Amino acid sequence: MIAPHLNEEFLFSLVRFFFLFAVLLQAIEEMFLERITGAELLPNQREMDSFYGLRQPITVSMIGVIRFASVIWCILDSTNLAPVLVLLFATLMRSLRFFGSLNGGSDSMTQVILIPLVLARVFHENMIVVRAVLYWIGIQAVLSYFLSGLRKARNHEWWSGSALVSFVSESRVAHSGVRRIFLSQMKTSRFFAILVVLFELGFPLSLASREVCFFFLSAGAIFHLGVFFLLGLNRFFWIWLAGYPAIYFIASFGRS
Amino acid sequence: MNRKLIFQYALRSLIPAWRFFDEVETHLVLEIKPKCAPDSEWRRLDPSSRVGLAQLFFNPSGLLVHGFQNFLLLVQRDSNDPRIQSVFRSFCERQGKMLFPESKEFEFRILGESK
Repeated sequence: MIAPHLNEEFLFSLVRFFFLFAVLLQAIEEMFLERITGAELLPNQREMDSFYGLRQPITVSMIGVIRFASVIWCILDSTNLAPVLVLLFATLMRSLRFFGSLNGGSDSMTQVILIPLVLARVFHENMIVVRAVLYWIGIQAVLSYFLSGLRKARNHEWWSGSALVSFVSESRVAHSGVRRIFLSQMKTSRFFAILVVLFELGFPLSLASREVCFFFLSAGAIFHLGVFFLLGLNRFFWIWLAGYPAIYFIASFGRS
Repeated sequence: MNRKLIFQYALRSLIPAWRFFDEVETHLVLEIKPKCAPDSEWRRLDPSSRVGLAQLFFNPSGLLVHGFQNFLLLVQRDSNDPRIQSVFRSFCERQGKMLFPESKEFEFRILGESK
């Protein structure tokens, strides 16, 4: 397997590129969230106002517009600190609006990457800070898989396959053919459930070398695509992809 | 207004990866019926979504599904928090009025448990 040698500046640029792309997609979804069918199934402004005890001046669409504009500003002016601070502020506003999380782990990962990127810009992307940022993001991304795998490994339902059956049967998006296969063929469910546990538990091995890393990152992208088609988690795919160059950095340079 | 409480919710989303997936979510379902109506009247609230390749880039329905799940999870997790319960009651009453326009009082329940 050929794993290309990429320098750290380029890998940092890749993290930033994929991150901004992921946030751009997130922001567009948020801009349209209040206009789609079923949008009344989230607490509305009046209900949120009752929580805050005062009138909150900002809606989900407005947060989306601010995040969208700040990403465009970040792209157009890659040295200015202001747009990343605006992006951080709007992301925190969204957290306030939804009591912490709108889309679970993908929101957490967004902030895990955003905060060090802000720090990097504060220090004018000094190479020492850039390296520290890549370490931080890479380790967090690896831990996100490993700890998820550890949690699954402690649950016997993952080893029997029934946990995966439960996820697929409760999914609102899984293709009926795929759902039928998982529900009717327990051996298939068990095989994939164990494969997921082993993949996640084994993810720290990705730091062993560039070649092993390349393998794990490719498998990770396929894993997230599978999760998207089974559970509809599109945001996870893009935001985890943003962490991949940082993992590759640790595997390439981090141990030298 | 309890600022400490509000920022606690914001800080939750800043928790880094060592806390990722410490809760494995199962699918939670919200059901509503008019107060004192028979059990056959329970009506399920459950947003739906569909997935094609285009939804990998743009999927507000999916975001709604997961936002709704997060909201129910929060209500279930913070069942003793009067502020969350107040938002939840107001939300359920609004849903109840849409589903049963002739009724004024409603009962609601969340089915399923987060592990």
